[in-house]
Amino acid sequence: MSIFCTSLRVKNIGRELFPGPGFLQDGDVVEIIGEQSTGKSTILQDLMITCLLPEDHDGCMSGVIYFDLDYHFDLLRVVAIIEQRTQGTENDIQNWLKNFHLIRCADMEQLVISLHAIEPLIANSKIPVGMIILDSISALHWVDSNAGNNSQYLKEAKLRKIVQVLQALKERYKLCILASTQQLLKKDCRQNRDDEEEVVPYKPFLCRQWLEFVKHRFVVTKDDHEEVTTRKILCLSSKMDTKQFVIDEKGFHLVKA
Amino acid sequence: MPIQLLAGMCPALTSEILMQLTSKGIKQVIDFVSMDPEKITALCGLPFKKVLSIRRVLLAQYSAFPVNGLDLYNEALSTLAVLSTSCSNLDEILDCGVYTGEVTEFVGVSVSGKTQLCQSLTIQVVGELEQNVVYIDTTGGWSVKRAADITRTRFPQKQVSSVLSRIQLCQCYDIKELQECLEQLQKSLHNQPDCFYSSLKLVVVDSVSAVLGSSFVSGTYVEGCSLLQSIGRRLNALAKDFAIAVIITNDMVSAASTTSTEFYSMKPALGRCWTFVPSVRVVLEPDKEPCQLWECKYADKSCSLFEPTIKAIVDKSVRSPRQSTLLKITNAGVANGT
Amino acid sequence: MNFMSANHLYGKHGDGLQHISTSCFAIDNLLDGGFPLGHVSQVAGESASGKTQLCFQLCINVQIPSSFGGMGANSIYVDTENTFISSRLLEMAESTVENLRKRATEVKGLPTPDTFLSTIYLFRCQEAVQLLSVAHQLFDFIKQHPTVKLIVVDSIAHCLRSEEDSKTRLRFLHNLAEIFRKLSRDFHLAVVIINQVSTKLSASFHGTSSVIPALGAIWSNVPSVKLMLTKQNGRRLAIVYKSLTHPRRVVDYDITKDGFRDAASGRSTSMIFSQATANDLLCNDFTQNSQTFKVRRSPEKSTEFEEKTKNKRTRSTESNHSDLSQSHPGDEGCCVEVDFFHEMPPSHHPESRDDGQSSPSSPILLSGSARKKRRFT
Repeated sequence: MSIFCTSLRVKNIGRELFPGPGFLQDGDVVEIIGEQSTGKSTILQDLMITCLLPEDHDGCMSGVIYFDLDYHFDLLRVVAIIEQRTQGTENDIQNWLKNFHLIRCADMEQLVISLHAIEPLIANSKIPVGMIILDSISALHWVDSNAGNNSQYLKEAKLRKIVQVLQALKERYKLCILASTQQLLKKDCRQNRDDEEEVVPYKPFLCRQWLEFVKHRFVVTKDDHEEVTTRKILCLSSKMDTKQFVIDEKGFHLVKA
Repeated sequence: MPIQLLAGMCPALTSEILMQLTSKGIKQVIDFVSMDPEKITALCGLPFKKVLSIRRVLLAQYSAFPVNGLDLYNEALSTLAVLSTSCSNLDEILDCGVYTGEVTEFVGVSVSGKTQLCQSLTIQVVGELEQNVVYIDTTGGWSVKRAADITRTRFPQKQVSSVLSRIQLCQCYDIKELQECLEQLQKSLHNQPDCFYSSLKLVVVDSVSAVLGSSFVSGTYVEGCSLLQSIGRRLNALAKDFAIAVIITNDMVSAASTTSTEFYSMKPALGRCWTFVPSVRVVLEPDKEPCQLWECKYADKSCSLFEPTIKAIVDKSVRSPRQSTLLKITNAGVANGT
Repeated sequence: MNFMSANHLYGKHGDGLQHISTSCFAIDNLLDGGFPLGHVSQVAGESASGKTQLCFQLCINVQIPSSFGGMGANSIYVDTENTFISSRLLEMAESTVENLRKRATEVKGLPTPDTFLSTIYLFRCQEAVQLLSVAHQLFDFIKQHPTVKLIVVDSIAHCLRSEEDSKTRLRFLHNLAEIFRKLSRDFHLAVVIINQVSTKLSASFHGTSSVIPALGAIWSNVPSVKLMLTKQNGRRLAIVYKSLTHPRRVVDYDITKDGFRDAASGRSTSMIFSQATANDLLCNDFTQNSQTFKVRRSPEKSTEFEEKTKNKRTRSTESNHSDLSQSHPGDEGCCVEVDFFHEMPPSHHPESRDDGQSSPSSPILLSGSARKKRRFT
């Protein structure tokens, strides 16, 4: 029982952010990594809003399933951004929100089971689901790692199962998978002091299957120097230049060079 | 703990079927659900329809239920509240005050006003907004007299005992006690044994680092991080599920600085994994070292009658940019600093 | 876990907790009567600032009988620096007894200086691990001696600083912090910890250095009440910079032959009250409930008082040897010490215990007579 969707539902999303055509394509897997307060969730929510909005607001009118794993999701903030962007009426916004689904899981086990359980929701949805968002996939990392087993292979078992089910959903329904990852391990900067290159603050710690599953990997950084906040996003999976961006009441915008 | 497959979990899961499944290595719910039903049928020799029906029941029972955006929106509109701090400077940098549904963290060195701020906010919520507060004290810094003094100064027309009756206090001095306290609180909020919990709007934990700071010295790094992450999730879940504002305080510890210009810098305690827990973080910095003698305007140079002015910096916020303001601790609690 | 209503606590303690006076009214006033029961307090300062003197004063003041408005309770003294000198304690106890005698309506039933000393339970340790062991044992000890309402640790920095491994030191700090907090909560007593100081270098280039309490940021958040004893221009100043109910203040204090006291009048400039209230407030109440015992300390009388006690002291030092030789065999003005390797209940009769037979490696167990011998040889 498989359903194939051939239309490019998620066009227009993330203009200029993605290498190649410049925007997100069906079946892409995106990972945004960063330390606390760097803007990972904001970027994901911005991409999500574009997915929910109708075509006349440059959106895709597609459904979104959002896994709020770190319990930080604030719907009213998302609505505020939608209002700023579209000046839509209350009725419109409520209609658009009907295609949004939020799921909160207590642990990794429930996350795996819930990912399996959403298939009927995706299959039977009136409006096709465009993306599944996991914010953040690392929010359960330590709890999961500590769940008894000493073997690294067994520790990563649940994450591998997650990758498996996401792979199946992605192939069957041609939707995008977006995830944010908290930078839980500190990158040792001492080794690179001699290099002229800028040190990328990224130290991978999730399992190999996840690392291979992700197509576009971004790292976001924030620098608070003398009251001025500089936010940068760089793409690890391609040779795209580091870009600066800002976050305001309309969401996330790349700064034109 | 992973959920094991047991007979009787659903009508179709009989003991015979269970035995066939476990003999092939499918012992947990997660194993059953992750495997393709056709594969299970082929592997265990079970009827396909039975496998499907077991799968349907297990998925319905153990998965998290998706909430529709519209329902969530209506619920959020009716339950969101912003708790004003009674100090206009602080309200301004926090975008009107402390929000329910999220964890706000106040970080500062010793004697920077964290406990005073917590007590001041508590009295504001119980006195002005007339909502209930649970105060979890892990340091012994809670003072009934101070709470009574603030109440008398700020609400002279109200009776101190009736204002204080809206505060439930719990003293937890180790991790186990804190976990028990949070569990009990969660249960009470769920079951609502009395009307106290229906108007509970604020939970204060002063401070988290007093009990959680020891989690790295005993046990491995992974165990420590796991404990912090689970307590962090619990606090966030409390805030989100019951639309409560959770305020926590944290200490500062010295940071190993990589740059040569600053060799004495401070960072919030509890390490990197705790930085992801709160949604809003405010750093409190007193302008002078409290344990030393300050220069004084009076002729008697070593006498000082002044309190330090505290600089409050919004370090992390989903709503406000990075900004700072000045505060002072007075008889009435926290007030604008000059 | 027990959830208590703040209202219930308010009713229980009224507007204040019980406190142990420091005998320095200026400091007592900033702490609502003294060091509070149920909380951990810290006194830091450079050497010779009077930290140990303050500890002795607290150990004596906690024992003042309830008929004089005191608590009539006992204390535990954990000594890590060998600063416990019973002769000094005796001197301070004598002065206190004099005070009580002057104000008492009857002389019968007054405690003697020796009684004051005999109910201070002394624990000695040198290393951090010994301190931790003592702290653990205090739970059972206090259950057996429920009259204990004060624990003094002099000092915590001494044994922890010698711990080189930072991870072990951290672990000790966290454990000790947890134990002291639980002791103060479960038994409702005051825990007063003495801390040394260390130098903090300023972050700026023109590095000025400043003096802060030792043991770093992790310990600094443990006590609820913090004092710093310092000197400036010949004045002894106490900075009460963390208190449960009062803002930061600096006051004068002094250390006289009688013990820890207020500075002589004319030097406390930190009073911000009007003159009228100052006179009222000069009543040195030991607790808020005192009704029978009030010491009025007006400036002219204090000098007269000091004159009297000075004469008394000169007399007593001359006749020290003869006095002690006349003391009772069972009540030699010694403090009760406890050997923490053997859980022996302390006894008031030094002869009944091992007499100075300890080997150098075991914790010091001295009987009163053995210590006295040390004093005079």
